[in-house]
Amino acid sequence: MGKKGLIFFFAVSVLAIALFSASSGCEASFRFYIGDREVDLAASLVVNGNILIPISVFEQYMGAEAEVSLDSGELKLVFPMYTITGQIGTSKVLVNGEEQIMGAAPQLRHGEIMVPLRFIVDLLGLRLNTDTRQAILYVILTEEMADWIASRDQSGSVGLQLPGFPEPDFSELPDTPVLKEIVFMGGPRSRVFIDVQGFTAFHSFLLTNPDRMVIDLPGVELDGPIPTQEINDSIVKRIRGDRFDEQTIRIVFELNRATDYQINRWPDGGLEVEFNYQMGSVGYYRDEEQTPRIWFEANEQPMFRVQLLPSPMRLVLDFQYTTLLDGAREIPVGDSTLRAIRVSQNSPSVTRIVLDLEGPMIPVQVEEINGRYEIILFEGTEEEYQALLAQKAPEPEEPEVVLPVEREIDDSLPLAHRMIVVDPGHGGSDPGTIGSVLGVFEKDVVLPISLELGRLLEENGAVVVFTRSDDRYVSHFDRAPIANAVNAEVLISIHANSYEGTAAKGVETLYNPLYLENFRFAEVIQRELVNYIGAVNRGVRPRTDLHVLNNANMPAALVEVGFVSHPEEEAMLNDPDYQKRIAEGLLMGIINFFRDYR
Amino acid sequence: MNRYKEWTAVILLILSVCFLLRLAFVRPELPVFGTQLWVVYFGSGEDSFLVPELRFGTPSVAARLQALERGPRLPNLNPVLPPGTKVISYQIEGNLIVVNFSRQLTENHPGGSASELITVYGLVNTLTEDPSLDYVQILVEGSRVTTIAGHVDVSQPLRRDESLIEAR
Repeated sequence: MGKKGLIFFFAVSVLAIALFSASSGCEASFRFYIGDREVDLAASLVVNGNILIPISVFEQYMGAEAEVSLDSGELKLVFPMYTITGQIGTSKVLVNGEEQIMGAAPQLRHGEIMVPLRFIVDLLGLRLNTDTRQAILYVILTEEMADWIASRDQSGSVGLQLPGFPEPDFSELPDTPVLKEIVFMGGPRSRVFIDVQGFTAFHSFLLTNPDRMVIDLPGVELDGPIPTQEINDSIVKRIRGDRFDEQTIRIVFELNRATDYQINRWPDGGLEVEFNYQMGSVGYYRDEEQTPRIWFEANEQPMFRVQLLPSPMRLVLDFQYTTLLDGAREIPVGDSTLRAIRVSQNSPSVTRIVLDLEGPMIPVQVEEINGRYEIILFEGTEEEYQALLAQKAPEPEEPEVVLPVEREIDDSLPLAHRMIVVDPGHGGSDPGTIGSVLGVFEKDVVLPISLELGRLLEENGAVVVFTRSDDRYVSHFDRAPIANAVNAEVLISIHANSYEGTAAKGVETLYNPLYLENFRFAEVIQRELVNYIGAVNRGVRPRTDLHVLNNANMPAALVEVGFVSHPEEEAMLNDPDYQKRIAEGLLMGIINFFRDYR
Repeated sequence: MNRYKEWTAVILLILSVCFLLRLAFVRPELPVFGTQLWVVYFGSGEDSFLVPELRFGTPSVAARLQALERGPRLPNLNPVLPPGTKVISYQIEGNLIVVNFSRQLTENHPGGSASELITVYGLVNTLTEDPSLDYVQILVEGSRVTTIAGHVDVSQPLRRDESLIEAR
């Protein structure tokens, strides 16, 4: 056992180091290892800092026996020393019959019961480690646990084995984190980047008289002496740093006045420091339209949390990450709705403005005027404000329905007398999305496709109504109602897509999964269009939140015929021949839908 | 079986020693124990999914909103809010959070249903990571809007959508 123990000790150390230093082109989010094995996480969930993972992972990778009942929500997890029983939705569990509380309650996601990882790891006396640089999360096994897993593993192999493990790249990562330099980036919040290669712990605190902020970096090497930087901006006077003791490097920010700060860790090891927004004078006035406005001076616009509190009525605005200069104060107003304004530092990171009210008031908007920020207030409740906006909005007009001219229709045609509404997306003042290279407007691509589709549908006997047949703006509120007004049998909405970058391409069709007919319609259109034009198939997407589809009373689909953000697809979508082919593909989809389902 | 184990053990020992020799000493223990771990959702590189990015520290609502405003730290992810979009304010009523954005949310949006879904649910999924929040209402300069870019109905409070999170 002693020899084995030693070996495992070595193996565990190596694993820890190798995992820590592993270099790979991993996608974002995190990779997860138990021992040396990468876990294929079908799902994960973070609830208030607790990572929840599928219960099956413990079965598959940690040799546990899991029993779950999706009906009753009961779960049971058996490890050699511990039997855990619990229930979905409650964080209380029984461990060997004794009640314990987990950091989060088990949940059901995608048909899997998700349980908090850290609770299990702590219970089993294992260690959960993270490496932000590589975005890796890993559980270090104990010897007993590794033995247990190995004995349970059907392949009979030991859980701790090195082959197939990513080769650590020591050329890139120093063994000890090294402080390269301190970069003052400036900006309104005096951002500073502390360039540390490798992952470091840090400890920070504020000192007063003279006011300064200190960051200690333990176990960090110096690349060379740290030059003192004279900054003299509105927050920071000077930045200096030196070795504090044998283990620690100390960086000191000499400040004009003590202010709270945030330190953000970057994935490649650096630390970003930024100081609070600085709020100066605060005041109140009513503009020419008698709209109440609160103004404040600040180096940048901070976000604020809003609370409207009753008896006595107050509007509380909590400015996040904000330091109040010049101390707390009260500004008497004596207005019809506003008695007074009180300003204070509520916590190191929150500046609070309280409005003592006579009647309800809500903040609506913030404008920057002459270097100060003005919060525009509305005298009334949120509901009253939304009602006012709805009132101000132009009266919804009856949608303009242009019925096609009556004509002789051959009853033998595949779509004879079918009422079909074609909806070209966007239009007029709404260009839709804009192409990445040629700057093609979505509205100009989808209109010719729609008109051609309409022509082909009529050729096949259909009665076609367009929501727009030229370059005009049609409100979201009118599109589905047009189809409803004419009792259309199907509605097809034609759009072009866009995504960040230039890589995404292909066709997708969106539908509302509430009715099977929608799926059938979307599926047949997607299939026929993709086959006919040979585009990348991004599939059909069930969506319950699309405005035009939700308001239609008949089978409806929204076809995204391609990406104008993809340079080649943009050029193709701009080509009249390709537009014609898209229309032909859509026609086949519609014909097949009526042939198969009507 | 025993022989196999011994053999494995010897290889492990050799490899371990080799690796340890390459390292002068072991790095100090990672400092992230006890700190909270949370995620922000951003757009994936190509296939328009949401991908969680790990963050450390206290996941306050302000921290989550600021992370969305700032955008991803990993170079292969895409921001979910259009350039220049600011969070003006937010209000929490029970399990609903109302977030009031500057007009850039709609004005600077690139359009297209794929990127609109990423914007809407990058926001909603990040905020509903907070266990006390289930619904998100989007406002633009105080007013409810029908859509951000013409497709997704955001006039009502929205619920989390797990289907847009990239399966891993």
